[in-house]
Amino acid sequence: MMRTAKVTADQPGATDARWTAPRLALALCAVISGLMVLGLAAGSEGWSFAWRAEADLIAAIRAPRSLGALAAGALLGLAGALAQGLFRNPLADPYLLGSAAGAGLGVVLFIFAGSLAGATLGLANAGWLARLGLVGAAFAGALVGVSMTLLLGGGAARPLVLLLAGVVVGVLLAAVSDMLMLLSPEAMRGKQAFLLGTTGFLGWSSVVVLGVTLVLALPLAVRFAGVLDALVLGEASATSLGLDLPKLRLMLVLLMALCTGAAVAQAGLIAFVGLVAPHLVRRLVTVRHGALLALSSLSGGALLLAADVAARSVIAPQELPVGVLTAVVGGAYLLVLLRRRAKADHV
Amino acid sequence: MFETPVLQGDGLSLRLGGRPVLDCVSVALPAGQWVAIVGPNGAGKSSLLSLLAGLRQPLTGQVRLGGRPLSEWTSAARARQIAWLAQQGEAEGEIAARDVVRLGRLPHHGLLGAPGPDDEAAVNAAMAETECSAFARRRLNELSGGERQRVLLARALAVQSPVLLLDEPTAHLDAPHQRALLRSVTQRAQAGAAVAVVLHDLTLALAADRVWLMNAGRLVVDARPGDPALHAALVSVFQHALAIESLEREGRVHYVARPLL
Repeated sequence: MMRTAKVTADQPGATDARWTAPRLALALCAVISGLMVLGLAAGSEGWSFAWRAEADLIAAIRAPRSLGALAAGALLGLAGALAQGLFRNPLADPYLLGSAAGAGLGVVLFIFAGSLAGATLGLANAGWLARLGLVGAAFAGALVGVSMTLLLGGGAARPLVLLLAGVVVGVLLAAVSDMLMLLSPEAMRGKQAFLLGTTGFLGWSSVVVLGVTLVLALPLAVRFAGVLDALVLGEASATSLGLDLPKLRLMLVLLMALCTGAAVAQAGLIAFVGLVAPHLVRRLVTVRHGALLALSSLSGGALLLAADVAARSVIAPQELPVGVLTAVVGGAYLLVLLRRRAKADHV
Repeated sequence: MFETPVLQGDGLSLRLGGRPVLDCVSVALPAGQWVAIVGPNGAGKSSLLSLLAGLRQPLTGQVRLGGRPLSEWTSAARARQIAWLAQQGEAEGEIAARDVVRLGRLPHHGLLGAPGPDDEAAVNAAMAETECSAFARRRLNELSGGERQRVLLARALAVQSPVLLLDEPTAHLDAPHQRALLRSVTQRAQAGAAVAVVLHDLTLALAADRVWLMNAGRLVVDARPGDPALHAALVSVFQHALAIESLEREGRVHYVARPLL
């Protein structure tokens, strides 16, 4: 028997300075609460905390918009954490894996089909049935997108090749969307807000669709998060632990596509929330994937809610498309990550 | 525990990328012994180990565990019987060392089950055995190569399986930890386990109960470390780049592979 180590995990010397998961969860809940208050107060004419006087406005517009942004961000954060664990790639993100572009194409096809039938669909005017149809189309599109990326990247073994494949698939599917739009000017109007990514059209029906998806997807993802832990060891080692990897991985890819599809169908193409949310969590805590998925959801929700509040107030009474904000901030973050990774590869 | 041999491969052949890597290899891994698998690069050592672990399907031949074809075992039951340690390069992630070791208990409590006191005890014992309790909370990707290897080894030991298949477990380990690893392996074998270890260090390999020497996808010799036929085959397969010498210490004969410069 080897000599027993003198310091054990439970002794103070063995701990690190990172946050604990419950502390981070509480902090994120506090941030979300604060942002919700701001979200309810941010109007086209600046901040207003006269709750009673603006109760109707809050109930009809600001509350569903803020809750919708929170839920859409949570779904994107969850999808990002799933993607990064599934493909063992810290740069993976629904937007970068082609699944968001696929979801986008699904939505455009749905809008296009609607325009052929004489209906002008869009994020602004979709009713219940149309919203569910949009989610279904986006889900199918997300699956097609991520499958194409995996096919082109030759699997998930080479992270940067996979990332490049995702970018190519994203450009390709976006081009197909554009071609469809050229064929249908009516659909073009519906697509505009969608392309930029916006929380402006989130109503109570969106909140229900997003909330139900989150309530279904998050517990299921957390329950099967052990697969992502095992994948840390590599595919062969995970298989040696008795896991039926092809089936389990397919199930988690389906969950990721569902989360991406639901978020994209309601709020359009919002980039980088899925990339940044898990990174923020990992910077602060060392946790297994179950906690990472839950905390990434909270973090993603907080990020998109913050972006929504900022989009409404930065140039008020004008409004920025929230996707533009997340693209600027998230794009800069991705550049920093790539630079760090390149440096690490050189060391 | 099984009657001997616990794990058996009969007529195993394998091709990878159209290239033959194993050619009709038959081996038997008995309970209560540890076997060192040696050979030059590309000899088929790791491929043989992955076939024995059931991680690849042979082109021809069959692997039997406890007398039953491996294909008849459920993946969960197989995982409780055979612990496999991959070469280190595959593992990469930001989860804590202790959580990596906990994965060794996954075959016991299942993906949807929760670890119990027995699982935690097995994890503690494995971490103590490989001396990695001190960095239990550090992330896998923040550990040195040697520390990481000890964590991954603890993960394999935590399975507490009757069969242990280790692919280059001494990589990145310093001399004291290499010695400690061999003691662990010997103790597991003495307790009844069947252990096969791919090794590049021939001196370490010659401390095993048996040595399987492989070359060009074939099993050249299966012999005890003191067998002169093994020594001759080692010298021949490694192109006379080494000599096998014997040392007597404390009443025991040790064999040393000395490089010829």
